[in-house]
Amino acid sequence: MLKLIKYELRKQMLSKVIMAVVMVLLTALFMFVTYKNDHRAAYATLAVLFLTMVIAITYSAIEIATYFGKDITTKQGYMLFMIPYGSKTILAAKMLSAIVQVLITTILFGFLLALCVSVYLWKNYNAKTFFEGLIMLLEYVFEIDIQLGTVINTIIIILMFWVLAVTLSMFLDTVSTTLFVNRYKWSTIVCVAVYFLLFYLIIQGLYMVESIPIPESIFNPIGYIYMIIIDFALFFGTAWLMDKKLSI
Amino acid sequence: MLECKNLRKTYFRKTAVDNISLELEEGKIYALLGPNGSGKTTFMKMVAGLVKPTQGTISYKNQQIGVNSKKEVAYMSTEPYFYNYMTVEDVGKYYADFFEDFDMSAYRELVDEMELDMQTRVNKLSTGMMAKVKLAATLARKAKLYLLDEPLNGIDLLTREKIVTAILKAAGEDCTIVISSHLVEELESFIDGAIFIKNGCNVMVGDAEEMREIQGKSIVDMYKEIYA
Repeated sequence: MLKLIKYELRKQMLSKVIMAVVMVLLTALFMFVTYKNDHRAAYATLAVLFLTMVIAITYSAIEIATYFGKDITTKQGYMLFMIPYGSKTILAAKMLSAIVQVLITTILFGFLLALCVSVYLWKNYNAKTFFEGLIMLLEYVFEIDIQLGTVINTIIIILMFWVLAVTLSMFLDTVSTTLFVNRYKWSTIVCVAVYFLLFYLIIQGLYMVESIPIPESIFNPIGYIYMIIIDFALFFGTAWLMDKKLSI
Repeated sequence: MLECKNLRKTYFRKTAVDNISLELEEGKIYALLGPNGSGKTTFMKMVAGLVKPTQGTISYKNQQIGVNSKKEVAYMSTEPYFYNYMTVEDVGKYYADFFEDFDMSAYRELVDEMELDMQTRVNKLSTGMMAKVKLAATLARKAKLYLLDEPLNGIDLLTREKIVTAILKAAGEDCTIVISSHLVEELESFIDGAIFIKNGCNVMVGDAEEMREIQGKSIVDMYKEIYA
């Protein structure tokens, strides 16, 4: 499994390196404009850095879906399906490598963002050390009543939706390739439309299950359980189709 | 070791393989013969587990095609399939990572024999050079069943000899080799059996020597007669 993940990551490494370089350059630019006391440019750079992260995460999902499509429709797929691994293992490796990619992007961004803001505070609010700046940042965040639990909850929700976007695209890609291949020219367009429809229905389902009254707790676990069930259903559905129907 | 019964593969309205039934014995070299579009590649892909049959069964050592058979079956596709970022060396490392029967030193030896450079990117290789890399990677496995789809395609005359030598070197009592090719003359001298495929059906399967005796002609002449 780890070997498969290694090769999956290697396939998509170039785009990740480019994005990391862009993020690091933006951080360097932020440092420079902060040093020059150009506040407006500093805010703009920070906004661009945030935008780059959003683009990086969105692009990762699109790239993962594209590579998966290539693997099940082109000769490149022989590299994966010729090896003595079952469909579930191959799919799990793809999913895990996808999660690793988004985590690396988020952690890198989180680190650079903390670095930028801390340096900004250090420079402008006379924090004595970098770490003091970091503490000031954290205090500032908590003063405006952002709880750590809320931050973690938001990150988990974003991650879950991102995983859903990837699993759903893999499932529909497999459906399009196995059940409609060479039959209908418009199967891809139908699958894209079905993708958005299913995504919408899954979110509606989430609203419904989250409205179920539960005993008071820190967070509502029903939404998480619902999303995990959906992800697993899509995962096993895709693996089953690959096992029974996929011809490359 | 390999048994196929009423094998059929259709792609919507197109039938690629239509009722192939055959048995392959251990330790023999078979030529899979037929013109373009006769179903040779689809048949090989089904045995390799890359294509699912629409109908019929394939069993390898009395087991369905799957993870276990992939451990022992080495398939060389006629099309290039390596990842673009890979070098010739990366291909070897990839095979070494996933196939227990892969021998990296044998791969290096084959790459040397075929006058290839380990550091060359596979997407920079010519058709002939790519065929050599595919063959080296496949033959460096100590597989029980080799499926070589058009291994002599796009290869010059001198290199063909090297390839045939490499194939014969890989052959042994406990392994079976199936070679598909249009170049029947090249195979005639060393094959033990022949499978003639026409329009997705096997029209003749058997021991090459027996066929020659019964038909009173060479495999090449039989090929000409069947596909004329």
